[in-house]
Parts: sequence; C-alpha cells; structure tokens
Amino acid sequence: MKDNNPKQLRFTYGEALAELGENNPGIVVVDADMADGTRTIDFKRKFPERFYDVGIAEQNLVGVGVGLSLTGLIPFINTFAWLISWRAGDSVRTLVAYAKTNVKLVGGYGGFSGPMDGATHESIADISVMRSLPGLAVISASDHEQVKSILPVIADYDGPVYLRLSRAEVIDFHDSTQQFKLGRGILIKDGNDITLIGTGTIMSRVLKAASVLQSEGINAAVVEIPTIKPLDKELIITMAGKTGSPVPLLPARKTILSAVSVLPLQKYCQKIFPYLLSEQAYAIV
Amino acid sequence: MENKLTIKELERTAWELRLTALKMVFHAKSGHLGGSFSAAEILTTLYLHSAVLDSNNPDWSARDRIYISKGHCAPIYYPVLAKFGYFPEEELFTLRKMGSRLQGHPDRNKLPGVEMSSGPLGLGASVAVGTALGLRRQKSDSRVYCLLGDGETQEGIVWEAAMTASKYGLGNLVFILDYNRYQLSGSVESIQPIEPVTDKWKSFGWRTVSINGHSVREIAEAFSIVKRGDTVNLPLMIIANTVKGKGVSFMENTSTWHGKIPSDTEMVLAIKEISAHLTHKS
Repeated sequence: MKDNNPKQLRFTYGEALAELGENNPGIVVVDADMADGTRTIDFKRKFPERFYDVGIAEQNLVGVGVGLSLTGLIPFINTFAWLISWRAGDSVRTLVAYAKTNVKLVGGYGGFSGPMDGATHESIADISVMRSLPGLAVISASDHEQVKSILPVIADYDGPVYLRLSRAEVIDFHDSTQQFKLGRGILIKDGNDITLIGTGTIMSRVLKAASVLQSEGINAAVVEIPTIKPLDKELIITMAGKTGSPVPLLPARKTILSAVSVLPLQKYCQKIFPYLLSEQAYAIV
Repeated sequence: MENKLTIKELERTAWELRLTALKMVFHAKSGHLGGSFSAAEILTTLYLHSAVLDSNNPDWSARDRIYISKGHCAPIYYPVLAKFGYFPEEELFTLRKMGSRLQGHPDRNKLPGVEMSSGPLGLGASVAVGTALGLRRQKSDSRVYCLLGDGETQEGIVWEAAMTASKYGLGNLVFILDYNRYQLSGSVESIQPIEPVTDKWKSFGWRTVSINGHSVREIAEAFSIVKRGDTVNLPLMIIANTVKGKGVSFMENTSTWHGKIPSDTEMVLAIKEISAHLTHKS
C-alpha cells in the first residue's frame, strides 16, 4: 500500500531490516554508534544477540562486518553515507570490493538530506566513490515500498552491495506490487517527447517535473535507475531511441554521465546525451 | 599433507622456506625479505603444526582461520602455503609476475589457502575480530589467528579492533605480533614508538605472552594456550620477539632490507648463510 504521509526513509529501512531478520536467521547487523540515526535500533531491540556495535570506528566497522561474512553470515553494515564512503574507504575498497565479500553496506543520510549539520555531514560524493569500485553493486532507494523490496533482494544476492538511503521525508510513488530487480531500471511513466532519468529520493520531484511538462504540452517519459551499478544501459538506450535526448536529473545527471563515459557505446551515447553538454540540462534541473 | 611436524622438522623447514623465499624475491627482483625472514618460524609452526586445517579442502568449515595482516611477508607466506599443500611448489617462482596467482600482496580470490586479501596494513586485525565473532555466534570450535607487523600496530584500526575483541570477550582469537623492531624507513622506536607493548595490549583487555619468535618450541607452546572450543573470554596477543632479516647477517636488524633486492654477490652470501643452518640441523 502506498503511504501518503511523508516519512523519513530511514524509519522504513529500520522496520524492514528487523522484519528481514525474522525471515533470515543469517542476517546480522553491525553499526558504529549510529543505531538511532540509521534506525538499526529496531533490529537491535528484536535481535540483540545478532547486533554488533563497534563504537565510533568506521574502518573497523567494515572490517568486522567482512569478518562476519567470512563465516557465512550476511552482515548489514551501517553508518552515515559520508562515513562509509570516506572514513571507511580503504576497508570498503580492499576488504569488500577487491576481496568480493558478501556484505551489504548501507549509507544513511545520503545526499543533502541531513538535519542541516553542515558541509562535513552532507554526503554528496558517496555514489561517485562507491561506483568507482570494481564489483560493488550500487543502489539508491527512492521510496518506502522500494526499500522494503530491495532488502530481501540484496540479502539473497551473493556479493557486495552499497545501498544509499536518505533522511529525507518521502511519499510513496511505488505501490507494494513493485518488485525491485538488481540491475534493472524502471519505466515509471511512458512518454514520446523526452525522457527524464532519476535515481533515489529525487524521483518524486522528477515525476512532478513530468506533470509540469505535461501541462505545457510535453509528454515526458520518466525512468528510474535504482541500481546505479550495474547500469540498465538497454533501457536508457531504448528510451533515447524513442524520445531522443534523455535528461538525467541530479544526482543521476553526474552519475549517468560518468557511467556512460565508460560504455563501449561511448560515441553513440555522446549523440544521445546532447543535453549533458548544454545549459539546457541545468535549466531543467 | 599431515600438518603435525616435529619440532626438529619445523626448525629445518623454516630454514628451507627462508631459502625458497630468498630465491623467489631474487627471481622476481621485487619483494620484502626482512619481514618475511622474521616470520619464518611463526608461519611454519602455525601451518605445519598448530592450526587445524585441510589442504585438500581450503574452505572446510571447521578449519582454524589464519589471517596474514602484514601481507608484505608474502615471500615466506606463499612457500608455507605451498609446503602445506594448498598449491604446487613449482608455482612459487611466478611471484609478482603478471597473471600469477602469487600477487605482490596476497589475493584471496586467486590463491587457495589465502583467507583474506591483505596489504593495506591493519585491516586483517579487524577482519579477524569479525570472524571470531561470527564463529562464536555459530558455536564453532575454530580458532582465529592473525599475524601483525610491529610497525603495523601504528595503524589506528588495529586498536579499534583490539577494543572490539575485548568488548566481546573473544577467547577464540589469537594475534601474533612479529616484533622485529624495524619498519620501512627505520627502527620502530625512531619512527613511532609502540612501547610499552605488553602494557598496551593488557590495558586493552588482552592476555599477553612474550616469546622468542624464532624458537619453534616457544611458538608451539604459545599456540597451545588457546585450545579449540575454549570457553575463556579474553583474546590472546603473542608478542613474538624476532629479528628482521633473520638468517642473513647483513640483512639482520636493519630497515635497509625491508624491501631491497640482493645483488648477485649478496645473493651468493645469503644462500651460503641460510644453507649453513640446513647442513647443521640435518
């Protein structure tokens, strides 16, 4: 069911993680003194013997989680997005990505969603950092229903994952029938004139932008890219063929641009992304 | 192979493997001899005597876990793994070659027996703690060993891990400090002192034992402190007093040979000095 009352995404994550723990005894949770913020506190209350708090020590947080995974457990490793991508960066690179361990990194307070804690506490680079690491799946969740759908999928996936969450208040636009599929984009709304591409909690605003365009007589398609890596290239290329220039919206804009630059289809992509090189893209954002 | 060599066999094997490490690094023209030679007896005793492992089944769930956090001692680590039977000894001379499973620093996805990739210092400590936690949660009797360099304990993550180990009372966890007193650019004492080592680890909630890290007998005794399935709730730090570059007179007690490659003349001398131990002990 859609929840039309604005609610911070992290609360749904906490509830869904505790529920996941009930269905899967292999799930363990590691946190670094952030359980109130990341909302792993729900899991901690339900399964105190499967919850580990290493204190304010993010490098060790990831290392301990990796160690747990090597015994066959499935650790969800939690702290803020900027801490897990920067302070714990070497642990993530060496022990998670290079070593291909089965851990689920979860970054809370992604993007500009914190409670105005200042520049140090905003996470504007976690997607860039995580996407640069080989073998690490990178996911950005958009709403409550999607978070609930993502957790069992990444728990079953045998490999390293980074899941970006947000502290932002979000209204559901997915309903409970949507099924998250790793590596697959979602055509939220079809259209003929232009394709808007987004990821994460910005999606509700992308949909609003599409309705504004509609009132101007422009029929915009809307594509959501919940899995930033591996990227659903086929969907983007299909939509580009159908509507011409896609317009990736922040934070997707930067992400998609850097992602397509490594595609073997680079030349083609430069043709289909002319907006990225023009001021118009910024104007629409 | 059977991993229960006698003390005498272990002593000789450590010298044989030291010689192999020397030849491998000379052949590769790159690698770390000083900190490999200091760890020869520790690793030989651990793999070929004290730990419970199965070379035919590297992922056997009941095995003890061994993490080599000081991944730069790969030149002695690999010969020990090969001697134990994880992979053919003929492969040792592919060290540091493009496409080889024997990377400059160990890669768990390439070489059987390597529990975790290592190289960036300190990370192994943290992984060992997590593994000990996970094994205990699953009521396993297995023990977890982690070899650390002395300079490596300047890394903050080591102390983060040390705190977590004592918080959770990980009696199935054993750290070994290869205390050879030299690091890349000088003595540990001159670069960043780590003393008082025993008091530091005790104050972090660990049991400690200090041994001669080249005495196979003392090493084996220290490893026997933690039994499989022990119910003690204190992690153990074995402070192994070692000599950097042990076995080659001009490589001993200096940082110069941390990562230096012998010249042809030096190689002849080094082979002669190590081989002398094999003659005497045979």
